[in-house]
Amino acid sequence: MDIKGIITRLKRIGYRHVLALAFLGHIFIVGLAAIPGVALAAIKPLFEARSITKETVTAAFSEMDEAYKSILNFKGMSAIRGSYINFNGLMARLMGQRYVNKSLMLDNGHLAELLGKQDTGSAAAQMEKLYNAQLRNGKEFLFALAPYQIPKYEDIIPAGYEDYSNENADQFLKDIEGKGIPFIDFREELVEKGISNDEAFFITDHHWTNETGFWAYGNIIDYFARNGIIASVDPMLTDIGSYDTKVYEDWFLGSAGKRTGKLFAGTDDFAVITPKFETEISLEIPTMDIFNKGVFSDVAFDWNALKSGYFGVYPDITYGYGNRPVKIYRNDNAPADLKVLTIRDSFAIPVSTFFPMVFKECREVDMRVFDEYGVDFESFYNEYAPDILIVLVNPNQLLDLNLTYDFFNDIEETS
Amino acid sequence: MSLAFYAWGEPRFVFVMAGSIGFNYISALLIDKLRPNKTAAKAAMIACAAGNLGVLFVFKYLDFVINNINAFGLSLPLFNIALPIGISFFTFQAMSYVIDVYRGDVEVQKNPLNLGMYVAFFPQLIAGPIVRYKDIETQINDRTVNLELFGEGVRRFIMGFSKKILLANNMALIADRAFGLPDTERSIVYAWIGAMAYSLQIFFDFSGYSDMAVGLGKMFGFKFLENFNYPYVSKSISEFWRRWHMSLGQWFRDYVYFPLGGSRVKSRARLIFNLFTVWFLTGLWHGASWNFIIWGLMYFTLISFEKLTGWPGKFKAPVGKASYRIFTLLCVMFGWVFFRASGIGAGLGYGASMFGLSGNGLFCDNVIMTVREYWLFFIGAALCSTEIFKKLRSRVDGSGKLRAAANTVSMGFYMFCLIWSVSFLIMGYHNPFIYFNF
Repeated sequence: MDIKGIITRLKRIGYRHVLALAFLGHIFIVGLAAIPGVALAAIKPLFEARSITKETVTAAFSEMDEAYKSILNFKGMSAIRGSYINFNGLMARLMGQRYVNKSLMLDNGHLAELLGKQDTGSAAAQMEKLYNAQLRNGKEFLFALAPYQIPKYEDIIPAGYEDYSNENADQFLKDIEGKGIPFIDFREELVEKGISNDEAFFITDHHWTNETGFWAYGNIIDYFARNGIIASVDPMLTDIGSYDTKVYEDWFLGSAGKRTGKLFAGTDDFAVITPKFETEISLEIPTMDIFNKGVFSDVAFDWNALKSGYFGVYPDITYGYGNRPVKIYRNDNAPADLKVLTIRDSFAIPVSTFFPMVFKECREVDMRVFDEYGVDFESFYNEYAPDILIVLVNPNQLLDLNLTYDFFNDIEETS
Repeated sequence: MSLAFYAWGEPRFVFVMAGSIGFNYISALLIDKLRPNKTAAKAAMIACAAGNLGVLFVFKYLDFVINNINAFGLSLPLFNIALPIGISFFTFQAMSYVIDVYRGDVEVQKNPLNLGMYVAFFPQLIAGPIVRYKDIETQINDRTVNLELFGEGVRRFIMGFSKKILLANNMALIADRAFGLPDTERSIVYAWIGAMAYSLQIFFDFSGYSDMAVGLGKMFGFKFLENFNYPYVSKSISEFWRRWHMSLGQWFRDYVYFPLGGSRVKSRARLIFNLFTVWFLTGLWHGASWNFIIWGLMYFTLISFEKLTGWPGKFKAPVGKASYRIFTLLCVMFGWVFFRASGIGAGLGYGASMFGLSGNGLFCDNVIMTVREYWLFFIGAALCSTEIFKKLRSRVDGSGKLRAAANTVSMGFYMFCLIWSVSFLIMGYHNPFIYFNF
């Protein structure tokens, strides 16, 4: 057939044919991926139970439903999923929308999640239990409140939206102050240092940047030194100039960015901070069978996580392998021969990773997944007997397990 | 395949559907066999209808009745039976088949699979349209599937899919927020925006689903009747119900209104009674709640008014006609407020806030936010509820070159809508389906 014949044939293809092909293309991509996944999901509970009962059939339908939802979300096909999300974000941007998929674009162009009013009484009560436990043992306690994307003293929320993150945090700090619990409010620290939220936070993620996290680490060490909890440490350990800061440009699409696409609010740079000076530490993560020993940058970083690609990659867990039930650092060369326990959320990732620079033994727990460790907290705490207990969370965690976990359920508090 | 589709969402209640198919299949065969004996055939038909309505009553209305009885001081226990998705649709569909067999309008279907396919056909199973057996009787075994029809089905499906995802779901975000506010915090302007948003949400949700059903039907070679015809351009309430959920209106007309005598009755009292029955049942069909009954009776009042006065047909002046058109739209919108509200009190409260009677102000930041976030969807929804694109298209179709260009633009537009809609689904956006609950 010659070219003219082909063109003549092509001209006969109506737009309905093209539409039909586009539609079938979507069905094909989803369906082809769905069939084996859904079929396997259906067989799995029946195979494991080796029986067909009401429960196993119900479980099979449930697994099929989850598998189907995963396929619809293109899980495992990040590039395709990302393209759709980017397109949606682009349309939102062109329309001038500010609220997309639970993320609000603030007046400074950063993305944030709005928080409702919360009753933080139970969290304050649990902090009191932890504080008193330390007091009874003659040990130290510090609550560190990370800031939130929405600043306390600036109104950068567009009209029609309300956020109570700072109000909740204020109430919580007032509660724990009333109980005599020492704390650092990093919202105030940022203001005091003249650091704006624009500089302190990622654009596409609710977390502070790694550079801000490092600054917070120095701030905490300084607090301990000022209050005589530790002797003054070599400024080199907390001075950013003593560290290499490698900035990966346009590398990171945060959690909010992954929900809105890179064309809605842009992308972020990602900094990896490693010491220039000699180090030798160990890191143990029991639930991952990880035991690393050596140079800090080899031990404390999961370099496999530092991938570009925006969707399906999570470089934010490069530091310290992210949120794990329990992490144990040891540094025999650290100046402070103290044991530190940090109860933390993800804001601590670029903070507590550096604690081994100063303290000989550091443990971190994330109460949201602590049960995976298989030990109750009270036993863990009593066995470790930390000299310093730090709780580091952000205002979005005031009702979450890191603060509301029933740490010592047989101890009654009197205040 | 249709039963598997239903079982995916309702693994237990697929047996209710299968039971309904079996029961109606046997009933129709029996009626056909008893046809020489009119009395026996009629008794069988009535028994079948009672059986269908009985099942519907148990699943949908039993607890409502018990609650109302308990309001008189009794303490009868509730059964808390879950409502199978789409039960009102497939029950009415199956009943219409049996009644049509009794009336001799259709031949009895001896193949249970064919009848099962008619009742359970997945495109229209859970939210309509209510397909009449006589409309697809010949298509079951004799239909054409070709690329042209398939492509037209795809176009229609994408249209419905886009209406649902792009328009209905975004209007839902506005409506949910407006209806979720306390009456005192909802400004007057925002209350009107919320009411309009819900009016658009329910239209595009339902008509979008109907378009998808019609489109899917075409892909399989079936031609279903239309269920919506731009209801918001109606000039009267009567016209609105000739354009909104047409399959339901026609069902009640053919199986309730006409058998009662319709409009051709000797007395006004009888006419009023017939209208009352139809609209009471229409409201009740939508849900087991006084909200829906009052909503239905509102239409009874308005339609009775139109029938008795002859309005707006009597109006000659454009001003009068236009005013009545606005009045119609306002009545429909206020009706949707009650439809959406969680109860009669909530509906009255919302209505009061629309006129500043709840101690609410005129304006609030929510209005700014809504306009900023949803202006394009609002404009799109408003335009798509009129016949503007249809009229534009028919003008263009006459011209050769323009038609080719219009086809290309249409293709691009539909592809754009498909991709944009899929992106919302992938992002896990808010995706309620209102008429599933019936």
